[in-house]
Amino acid sequence: MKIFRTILVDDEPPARKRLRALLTPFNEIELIREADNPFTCIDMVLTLKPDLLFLDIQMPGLNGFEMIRQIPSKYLPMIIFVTAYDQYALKAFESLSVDYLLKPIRSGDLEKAISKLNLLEHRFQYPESELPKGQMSQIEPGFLNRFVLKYGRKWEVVEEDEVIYFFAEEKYCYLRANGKDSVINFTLQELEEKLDPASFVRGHRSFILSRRQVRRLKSIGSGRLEIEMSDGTIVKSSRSYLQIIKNALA
Amino acid sequence: MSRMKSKNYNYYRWIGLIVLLVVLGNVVLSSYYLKQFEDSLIQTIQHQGVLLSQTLETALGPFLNRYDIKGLNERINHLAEARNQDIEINIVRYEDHRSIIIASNIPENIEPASNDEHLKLKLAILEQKPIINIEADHGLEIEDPNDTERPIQPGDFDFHALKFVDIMAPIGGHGDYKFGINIKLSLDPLEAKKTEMINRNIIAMSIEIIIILIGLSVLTLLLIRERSNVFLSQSSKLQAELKALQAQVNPHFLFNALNTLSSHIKDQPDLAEQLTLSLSDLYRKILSTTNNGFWVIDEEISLITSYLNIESMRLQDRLIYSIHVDDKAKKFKIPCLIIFPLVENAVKHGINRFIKGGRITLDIRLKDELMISVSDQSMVDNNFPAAHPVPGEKKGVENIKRRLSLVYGNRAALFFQSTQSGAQSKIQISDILGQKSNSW
Repeated sequence: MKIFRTILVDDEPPARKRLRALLTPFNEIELIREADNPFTCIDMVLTLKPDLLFLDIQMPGLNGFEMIRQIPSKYLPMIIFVTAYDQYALKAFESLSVDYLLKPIRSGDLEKAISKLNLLEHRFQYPESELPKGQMSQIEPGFLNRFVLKYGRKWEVVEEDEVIYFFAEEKYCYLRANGKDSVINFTLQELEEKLDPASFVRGHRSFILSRRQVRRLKSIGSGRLEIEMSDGTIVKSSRSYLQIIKNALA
Repeated sequence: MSRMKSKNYNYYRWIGLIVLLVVLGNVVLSSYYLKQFEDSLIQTIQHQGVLLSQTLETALGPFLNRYDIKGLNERINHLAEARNQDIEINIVRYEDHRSIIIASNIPENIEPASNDEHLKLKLAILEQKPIINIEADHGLEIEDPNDTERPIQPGDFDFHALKFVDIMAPIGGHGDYKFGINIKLSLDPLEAKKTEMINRNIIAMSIEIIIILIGLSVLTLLLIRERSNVFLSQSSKLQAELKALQAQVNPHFLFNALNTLSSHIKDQPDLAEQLTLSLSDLYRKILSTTNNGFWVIDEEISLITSYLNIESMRLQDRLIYSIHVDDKAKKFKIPCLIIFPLVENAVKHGINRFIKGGRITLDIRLKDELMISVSDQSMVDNNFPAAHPVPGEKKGVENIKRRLSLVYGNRAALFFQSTQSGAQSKIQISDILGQKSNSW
């Protein structure tokens, strides 16, 4: 029997207690950690790489949907949404989550969700369904427009329109905003998929630029461009991106 | 209230105007009827006069010419019969044009002088003037050779004795004695005519009065209905607004509370029981608001306390709250659920969004005015960013504003301000003395 290493996140202690109690009888669920806020939860997911996440939708700081957008596909566990009110049910359905549970959770519903989980896991074991779990990154159709950054123990949320550009250096990817560069958990490739193309454009092999932050374009010959950003940074694009940038910024 | 007052004032003005118009119309109508009555009376009298003059000429003419006094009675009777009214003709004797002796019946023994042919009767009097006015006007013009050329004037006679005299017609006499005929025309038909006219007028007047009364009562009824409509529509509006608000009680809240409840039931039954009681208190309170839309502040506070109690069981140390209410404010009547949504908002925006939560302070003071203040103060945790302010669900706030203005007009205000680490909403109700006596 597959054991699911599980994390649950809910800001309400009684809600966590309830779920914890309900999960006890299920041997396939191994509750490894609990989080009382979405930021800590992101951290736990990235470091502990759980198989399953019970995710409350209404939380302070970030809601459940916003939270999972912050997690790169390869780290995404299977998700069971938990919500007090089914205004989010449809959204949860649209996502590729395993299931969603309504508070107060009935043990019968929980049982169904877990058997569904087993079923899915079973399917994933077939070699032809090379579908990585990460495929469930389309869990929520919206674009990534808020960026959760961590500095030591401190968390920050950067909004889309604060971002100047993203860039990759060595094996990390950075976000430049508010005068500083911060490591983010996504690759440029992942970002390109998740970002709203109306707001961002790939300007270089190692840059994704915010359209609204471009101040000036300057041709420097042989098909290359110098792009001046609103914070004064200058990015040099290579020949292969010339047309894309020109089209994008036209 | 002030709006309603001015509305009523308008209605009164209209009613006043209409009453004035009706009265004016009545005066005009009455004078018209009066004029008609006068005209008709005058016409009747003239008609009678003409008839009489004709009658006298035809009936009395031959007699006067021939002095056939004996046939007079007969003729007059005949005449009276034909005219279907009493005509009494008396022969009067007068002396010196000063006094008159009335012979009540036509005396058989009177022998008219045969040489009085010069005496001519003129009935000038009958031309235009009402008979009643005979005293003040022309007498009969008599040409009397024995006397002066002067015509006999009404003043010449002792009219006290001629009370019912309609027409005096001297017809001559012997020597010092002169005779005349006194034709007494019964006024009965005229009286009847007059009475009829008066009656008609009275009927017309009564009809008018009845119409006016009906009009006035209809107007009054309309006014009353209008007023009650205004009141009804206002209070039903209030009810509708309240219903809308009741329906708006956040469903999240209920399900979250139930979830909390379910988590406590097994191992903390006391807490679970407390929560159940708070929850039922809260919903009972919310549903009991329908009665008339008002309750005392105390009741709203107990509702809010239940609510915060439930929320603090869910949020635990993330929610701290304190409530202060001036003693004299506790019995002050306010529209139901006018503070509760503000507290709900404070929890939603000031507590739920923050990982460390915060504090809710409710402060109600009653001095010259009623001041209700709900503030939230978030515990800012530098390690965790707060969620975005939830894009305002303004429905609740709009609802409060509408109801405040329905009840207090511009005597109440709702305003918001941000504080250093949170927000404050305030309801201010001034002119509270007026509100105290307000029955609803």
